[in-house]
Amino acid sequence: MYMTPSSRSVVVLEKLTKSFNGKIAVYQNSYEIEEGTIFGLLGPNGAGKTTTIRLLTGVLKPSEGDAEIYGYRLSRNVNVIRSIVGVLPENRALYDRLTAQENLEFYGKLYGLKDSELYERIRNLLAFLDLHDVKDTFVGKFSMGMRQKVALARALIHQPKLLLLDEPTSNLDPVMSSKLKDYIKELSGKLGTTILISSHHLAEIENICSKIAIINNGHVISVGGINELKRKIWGYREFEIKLLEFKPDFKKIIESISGVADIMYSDNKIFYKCVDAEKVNPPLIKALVQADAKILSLKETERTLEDLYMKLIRGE
Amino acid sequence: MRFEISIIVARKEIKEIVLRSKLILSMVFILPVVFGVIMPCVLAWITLPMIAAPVTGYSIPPLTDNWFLIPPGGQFYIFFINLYAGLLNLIQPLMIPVYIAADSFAGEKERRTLEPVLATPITDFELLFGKALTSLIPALTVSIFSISLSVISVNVISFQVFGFILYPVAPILMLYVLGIPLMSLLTVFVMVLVSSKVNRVREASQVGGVVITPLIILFFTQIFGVVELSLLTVTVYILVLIFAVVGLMFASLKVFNRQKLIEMI
Ligand SMILES: Nc1ncnc2c1ncn2[C@@H]1O[C@H](COP(=O)(O)OP(=O)(O)O)[C@@H](O)[C@H]1O
Ligand SMILES: [Mg+2]
Repeated sequence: MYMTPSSRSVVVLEKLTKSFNGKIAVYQNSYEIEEGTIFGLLGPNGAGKTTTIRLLTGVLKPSEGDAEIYGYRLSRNVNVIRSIVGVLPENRALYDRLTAQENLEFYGKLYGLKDSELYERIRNLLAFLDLHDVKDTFVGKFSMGMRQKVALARALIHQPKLLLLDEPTSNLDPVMSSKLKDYIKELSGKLGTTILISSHHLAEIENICSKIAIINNGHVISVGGINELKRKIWGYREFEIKLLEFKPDFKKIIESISGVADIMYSDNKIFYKCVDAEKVNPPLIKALVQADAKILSLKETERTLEDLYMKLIRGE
Repeated sequence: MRFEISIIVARKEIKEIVLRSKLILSMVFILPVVFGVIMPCVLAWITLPMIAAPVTGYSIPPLTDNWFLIPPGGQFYIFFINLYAGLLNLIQPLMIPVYIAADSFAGEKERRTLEPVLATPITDFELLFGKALTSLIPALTVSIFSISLSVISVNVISFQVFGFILYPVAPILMLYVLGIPLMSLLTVFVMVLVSSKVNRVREASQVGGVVITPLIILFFTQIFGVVELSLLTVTVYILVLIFAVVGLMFASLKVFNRQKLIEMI
């Protein structure tokens, strides 16, 4: 997922603060979310993810600070914000004694949808989420995965511009979890919905979000693109080039590129570090190819988000 | 205030809470039969001998036009039947909202289903009004049925003896028309307050039983002749109810707002 240069920030947090009984639960000092991106809010239990989401849905009132969502201010236009934000709350909060269809109808009507439009949307959402066959079953009888999907459909019923998902894959088995992530990705791609996903589950965020904020004790520790964050934390990135055949004169070529550091060779592989891969890798590859190197692969030595997360949270 | 939003809430809740709850649905169907037909009929029938052997020591105010033509036994019978049939029919609009509102307010808290509702543009008042309608509509519907049934069944039994319709007399009719909506509303607001303190439907409905108190007070003051059953008494009672309802409404609005509600989800 790439951000186009024209992308604008549609969620701007301005020292958004919530205290409970004088104790600060959340202090979201300024970060922004660009239109159409999937943004991850990552933090351990009690970090303040749910509270942040409740502030952004206008369910909780900030103790201090403000946020701007699609040009509307939480402090002034909270009802407009409620109408353009959709939420999948932490407890899915469905009506067990109503069917999937009835749950969706109720919310659609609360958002003021006209009947014809409402029924069409429900049909589409049920089809999109493979729920059509169970639409007349009481939600109380549903499995966790199905409940999650109904709750997601509910969050989408009014076609929100901003979708807030509070731990959407928790309690799901891996198959269901990856399926739900596919739906979310498809949504973002198809409709350009801006999506914020909270999670304490690192792997979830790593392969779905383009940008993340890591929070702990209500405070933002770090915000940025995943690679950007990694570079910020470790200060450099590591790459590995695999060649069909290594020739000694490649050494000279590689060492002549500025910005390359800590070069190591082993068999047909070259390892190196650099700070600014965007500036280093293209000329490096070009030079190698001109020297008739047969490159099989170039890959980044992955530091998982797990490493990053632990380093940030525990200061390891 | 968008009235249609409250209607949407009430329609959803009547389906969810009334039509799909065995307890409440059976109350809605059984109460009018028991309190509106069986008990008034039994009372009207087994107390017919009172007419011949009146209970003494009671001074009963005129309850019908032709009051002084009726012998003391008949007067007592009219008083007795109106009071008991009245009590039975006034219990329902108090108790039905206890159970519905317990589910609607404390139940929403127990099941933790409120958060996405509060994330929609609904106002606190629209939500409260919708939930009030959820209790009021079934309560008033049941009352109308039950009262109609009791009027028919009591008079079918007594008409052959008296030759005129002896129930309901004017004060009881006034209680039915003005008192029932007020008493149902009173129950709803009491339940809003109760539900803000307790977390379970069962607890809420048990505590909610207190709403029966003003009715019991009215009933016993009549039975023991502390006050007379008259239009004046009922007017005072209705005025007190109006004050109570208005006071409880403001108290309810105070606890029923997003900031307070979210603490319970
Ligand atoms: N209604 C509330 N009253 C008091 N404290 C709360 C309330 N809601 C959340 N908190 C506190 O705020 C902090 C953040 O909680 P939360 O947002 O639920 O974290 P997360 O979703 O990241 O697990 C926690 O310390 C929690 O105890
Ligand atoms: Mg949470």
